[in-house]
Amino acid sequence: MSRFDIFRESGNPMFNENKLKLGIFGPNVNNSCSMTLADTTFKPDFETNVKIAKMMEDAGYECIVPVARWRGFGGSSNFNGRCMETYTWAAAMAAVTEKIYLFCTSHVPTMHPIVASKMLSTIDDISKGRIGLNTVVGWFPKEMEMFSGKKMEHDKGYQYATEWMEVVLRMWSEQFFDHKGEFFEIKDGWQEPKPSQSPRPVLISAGTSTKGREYSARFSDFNFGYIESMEHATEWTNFMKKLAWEEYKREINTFTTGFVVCRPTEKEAKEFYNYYVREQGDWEVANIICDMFGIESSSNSAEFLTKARENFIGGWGGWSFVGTPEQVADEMIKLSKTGVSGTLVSFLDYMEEMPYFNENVLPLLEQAGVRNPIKEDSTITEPILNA
Amino acid sequence: MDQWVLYGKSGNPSSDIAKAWLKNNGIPVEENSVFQLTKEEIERLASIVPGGVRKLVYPDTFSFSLINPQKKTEKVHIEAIQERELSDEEIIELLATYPAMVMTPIVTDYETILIGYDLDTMVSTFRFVKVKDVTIA
Amino acid sequence: MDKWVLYGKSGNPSSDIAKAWLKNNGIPVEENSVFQLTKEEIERLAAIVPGGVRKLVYPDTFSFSLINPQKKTEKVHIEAIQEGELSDEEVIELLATYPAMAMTPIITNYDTILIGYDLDTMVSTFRFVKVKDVTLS
Repeated sequence: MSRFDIFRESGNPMFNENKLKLGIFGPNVNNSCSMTLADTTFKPDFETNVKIAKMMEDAGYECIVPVARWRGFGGSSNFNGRCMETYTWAAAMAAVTEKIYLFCTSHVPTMHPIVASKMLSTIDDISKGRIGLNTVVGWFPKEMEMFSGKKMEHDKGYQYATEWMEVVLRMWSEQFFDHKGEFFEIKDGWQEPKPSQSPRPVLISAGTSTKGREYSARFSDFNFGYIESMEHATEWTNFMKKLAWEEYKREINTFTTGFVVCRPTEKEAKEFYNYYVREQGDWEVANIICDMFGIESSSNSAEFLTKARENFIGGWGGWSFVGTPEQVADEMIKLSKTGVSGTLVSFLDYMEEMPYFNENVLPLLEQAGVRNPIKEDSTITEPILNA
Repeated sequence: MDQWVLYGKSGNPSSDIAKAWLKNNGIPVEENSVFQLTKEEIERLASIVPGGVRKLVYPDTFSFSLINPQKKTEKVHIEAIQERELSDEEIIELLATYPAMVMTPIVTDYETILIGYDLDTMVSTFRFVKVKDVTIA
Repeated sequence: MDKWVLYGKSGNPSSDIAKAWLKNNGIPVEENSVFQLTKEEIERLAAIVPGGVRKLVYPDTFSFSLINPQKKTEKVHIEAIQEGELSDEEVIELLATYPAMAMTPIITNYDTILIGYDLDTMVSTFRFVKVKDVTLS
């Protein structure tokens, strides 16, 4: 049996039959994915996160991926400055949810792999096998400089991440082992508990650079990335599958992210987009981030630069799902045909906007056969917090 | 019935107050965001404004920044426009790319055009306005 | 611990954005309305501003009206102030009567004073700020 077969057989939501899996991105950080000063009731606190997760479980979503952030990007929103640390977040969320798959997002240079692997095994027990790991090397200099004065150089960062992940995998699968590498020396490595889920927690990573894709191909179950068009989504997915198979004889899937503005009419959706992106957007932080990514360049037109900023403000540069329920569903159905396994979505205001999406878009996805209706017999018991 | 259109920007005091005045005086108006302005629409508005397209734009970078404290790119263009370094055609192109340079509110029925908020002008402009059709054939 | 005070006016974009910056960067500040300014406080602020009390006031009636579209009385006084017709003493008296003439935000620890919003200035001013006392005796 292949690794993916084992995930499927064990009932892992990330490997269920839905052609388009759905999750959310960054409910643990202020502003989530929207770089804006627009009014919202959204708060990156535990109480709000539990409410969102319950709503998602009721609607059948697959996963939540938190953002790991150690400081904000600046601007008057100081985008993502307030952040619930993701291991502790996941442990607590695991205790009060039942079905949804949770991820920790871990900057590998900030934590020893033995601590990380043990925390994940612990959360695996708390969640009854619903924890996965999103590894990131750390690309935001100001945040990584807080840890060691300087950010690891890009290629060295991936060498470090590779060895870090090798140690984690051994901690999860071996007892009494020795490891000596460039970054870690472990004598008589040993750990209990091991993860209970089969074959192990789901591993995901983003990364569009050559090294980033190699790392994904070697270790991850899902490569996360942005799509530029539906054609690009197919090319990227095929590329990753080929790379993982040819280099490492492994299977891999892809997953993307997008932002949703769904309203009864197209006019209302566009008006709201205008309000929170163009009128109330935090353009200063969008500039800071575009500069970091090197998007500002004379070879790009003014229209391109404006559009790039708008996508960041709208939802971290993700795909834009703006329109009526039919229009949003059509876009998602198209996405499901590209070979991409699913998409994370973000809303400006989860508690206000997600119910409308769940009630009006999800049924259209079910009719189109890209998602299955949630099984009625899967009863959810009262969360521990309310008991 | 008279058809009025407003281009506004939320958070701009003049724009928000003009919207409130229209609403509270029962005058129907199609409310648009200034960011929905197309090149064609800017040309159409410019042809109605006494003084031409320049009068749609903030007169200086200080006043622009009071309403758009976070926007920087536009400031260079505003200087160029107000120092008359650009043709009307070039200004219209620039405004279509950076609509934040346009003062708001703009209130128009494509005959009269109001830029900014002034209570007396509102009162005199909307005297005798027809807001509802009750004598349909 | 460093004590900062802000005088603002809700609905003024610069003031609202400066407040958001301070909040989102975790910097405690005593938030006051510009309408709470007393004569004594204006004197204290004027003493810190390079350029003196005139620099607390909008530079012209156009920019004043962008932020205060409904206020008329102040406009005459702003002209008089900026044309240098009044003594500092008189300007301070007028500001105490019509605080809307003062630009916002004003952010100060009574050493440094910031008037208006500029991101770079915020960032450089609040470097090394102490926001919480964790080493009490």
